[in-house]
Amino acid sequence: MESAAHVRTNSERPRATGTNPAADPQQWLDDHGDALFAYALARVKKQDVAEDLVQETLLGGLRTFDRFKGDSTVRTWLVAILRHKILNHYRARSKAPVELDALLGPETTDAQFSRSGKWRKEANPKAWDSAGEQAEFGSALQLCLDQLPPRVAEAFLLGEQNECSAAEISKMLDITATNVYVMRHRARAALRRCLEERWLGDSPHDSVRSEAG
Amino acid sequence: MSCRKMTQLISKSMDEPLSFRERFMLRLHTITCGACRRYRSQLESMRNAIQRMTPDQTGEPGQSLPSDSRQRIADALRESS
Repeated sequence: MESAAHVRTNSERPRATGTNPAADPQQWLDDHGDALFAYALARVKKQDVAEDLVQETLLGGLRTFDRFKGDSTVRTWLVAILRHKILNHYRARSKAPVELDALLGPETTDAQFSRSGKWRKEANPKAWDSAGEQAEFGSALQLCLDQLPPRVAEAFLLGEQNECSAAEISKMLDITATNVYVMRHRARAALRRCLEERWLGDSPHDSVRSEAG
Repeated sequence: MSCRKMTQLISKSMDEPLSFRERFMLRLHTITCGACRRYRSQLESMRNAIQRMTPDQTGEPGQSLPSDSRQRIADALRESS
């Protein structure tokens, strides 16, 4: 059953899967360059790095196009290539390991509870009802993802979408394997809170009846 | 187990199977704690929405390749094809 929240993007228009970009590389660039650039820039923050990653991705895609099976859109396929290049970029940066707390701190999860570990009144989760099914939920979720540090957002998404293992994520963020779980806990808590504030806000979705189960 | 610890367990349950004891504690707690029940169902809603997102929805709109870089990349692609 198609979910109502699934949003069709431009990249999902049907494309001729047999169109080899080698025939018209300019078209390839025109079709995908900006989208790939936006994606990369949001994650690596530096324009020159993002440009290089876009170039490598398009070149790589061009060279390996015979391996593209058409089981996804070309855009999706290219973004997958780009994501792996971004991951390699994170790995290659030689720097001291970053403390997870510096990326996303413990207050993300702890500030919502009293000393004894009970939910603080103002932080107590509200009922979302069918909010999760609605198209606006996806937009609100995107805005909330943008509030996270980009490296955390990317690492979190890659895990949730089963694109990366926990081991790869720990390398990507320079954190221990254990801290991958802590990162996810914090990311989920931060997103949930943001969504509740942004999505429910003043809306009439607030419900006083208790949820079943 | 406190609600704070319970949210930790709820998050963990989304990444790996819980031990029998952990599953039991979670079930016991969420029977009576509506807040944690809502928390768990909300995390599930988020995950479903994230998994429905196509990769290109997870980027920043509005950023374009500068024209000089675009030209450089176009040249590189032409040389390679």
